[in-house]
Amino acid sequence: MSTSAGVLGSRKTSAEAKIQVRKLEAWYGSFQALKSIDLDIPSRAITSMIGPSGCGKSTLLRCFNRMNDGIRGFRVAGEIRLDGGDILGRGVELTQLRKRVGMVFQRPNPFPLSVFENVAYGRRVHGENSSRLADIVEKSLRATGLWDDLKDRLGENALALSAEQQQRLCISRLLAVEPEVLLMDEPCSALDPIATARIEELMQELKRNYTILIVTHNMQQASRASDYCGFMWLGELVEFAETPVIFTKPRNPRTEGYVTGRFG
Amino acid sequence: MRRHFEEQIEECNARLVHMGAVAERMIEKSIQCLLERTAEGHEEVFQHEGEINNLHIEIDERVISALALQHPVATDLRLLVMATKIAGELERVGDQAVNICQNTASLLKHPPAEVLTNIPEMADVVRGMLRESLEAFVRRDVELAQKVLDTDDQADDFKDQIFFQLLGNMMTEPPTIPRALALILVSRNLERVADHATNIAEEVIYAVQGRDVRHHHEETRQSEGP
Repeated sequence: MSTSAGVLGSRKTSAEAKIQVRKLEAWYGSFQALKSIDLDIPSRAITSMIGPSGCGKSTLLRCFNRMNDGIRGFRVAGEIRLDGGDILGRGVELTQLRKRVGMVFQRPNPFPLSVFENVAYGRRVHGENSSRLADIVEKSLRATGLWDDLKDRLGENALALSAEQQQRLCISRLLAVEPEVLLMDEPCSALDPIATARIEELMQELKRNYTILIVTHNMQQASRASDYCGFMWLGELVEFAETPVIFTKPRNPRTEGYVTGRFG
Repeated sequence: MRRHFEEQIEECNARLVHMGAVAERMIEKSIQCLLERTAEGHEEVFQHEGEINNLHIEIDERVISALALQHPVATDLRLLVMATKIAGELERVGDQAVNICQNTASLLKHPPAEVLTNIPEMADVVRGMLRESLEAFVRRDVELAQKVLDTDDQADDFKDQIFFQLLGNMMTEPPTIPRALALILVSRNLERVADHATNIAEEVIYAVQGRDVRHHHEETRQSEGP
């Protein structure tokens, strides 16, 4: 985290943007959920989005791997670029996009398969031959700290794992397909404080290799675990800055009001 | 919960205002004793020292408790951090008042100086700085805080003038050395009070606007560029 004293504002210009959002607007039918969002999401850092329920943060997150596409009446306008390449165009292959931009959900959602098959699933879908799968599964489980606990239980049903292990397993399942961006929608809301701390620790490890975007209601989680933070309100991105700036001297009075609990 | 927390901040603030009043009273009394060449008010200053020390501890405890339990951010965080830092400054202002009394007690052993140098004028400036820094804190008045910062050079200049004035006296009239040394120490005490007032003013600016003006920090950062 870039929270060391005296360096507020120092990373903003040095970080390169993995995702660029320009004039992004989104509607569910006639309801406008996102209003002219401009945002650069820094590469290999953790960016958190905070704001009250219904402010559009999850909608924004789901735009990055086009998860909203299947929702009836959903429309989007504007631009999202991943490493400079447009991801909103008609010709974008969604399977490929979702391989590059994976998502971790609020509740762990392992498949009712073995631990091994859960992690191997994505690679099988992408046509991986079975000789390399064991290595990929081991590497992915090691990356989330599960390998030592589960190496002798690879054949067990994943639903028998603890909630934290299930969430780690879901992250392993994503890592197995070698994504570049991890989207996390309230990834710790179903976990106890100890498990939450471990997942946050894991995020710090993962940001060395991945760009992480997390949506959270837990402002303390945003403050301690993210490098950059955006505050959303009624579909607008009110303020985006390094996390220490948002929580020590936010520039916008609406951000100030929300983070101090005066409204929202 | 928010209202409960605001009450905690208000209570902390009220204790700090009280502490400021005690520190101001100590400085007023010690300077009055100095200028009137009397030790009669010293006991009062010494008694206040215990009170101000207790307030320092109490305010720090309140702030630490609020930090641990309420996880304040933004303005709330800056106000609480400011409170503990200002309490530290005020405790040292109290120490300087005690030092002025002790140096005055040394002066009283000697006959009065024919000219008491610029110490009365310096005392006026320093009292004004302390009063205005506390007023700036109470009213969250950045302009007034800035005025205190702008006055600090005057206090420094007085200290230098007084030193050279007394150095000249000591060289031409060696018997005045003990008295001159006590006066030099008093000017130093006053200059320290001005420094504490300046620090309080800087804290007020940070708490209200989030701007760190200490050690020309802002200018340095601006000249370094993004």
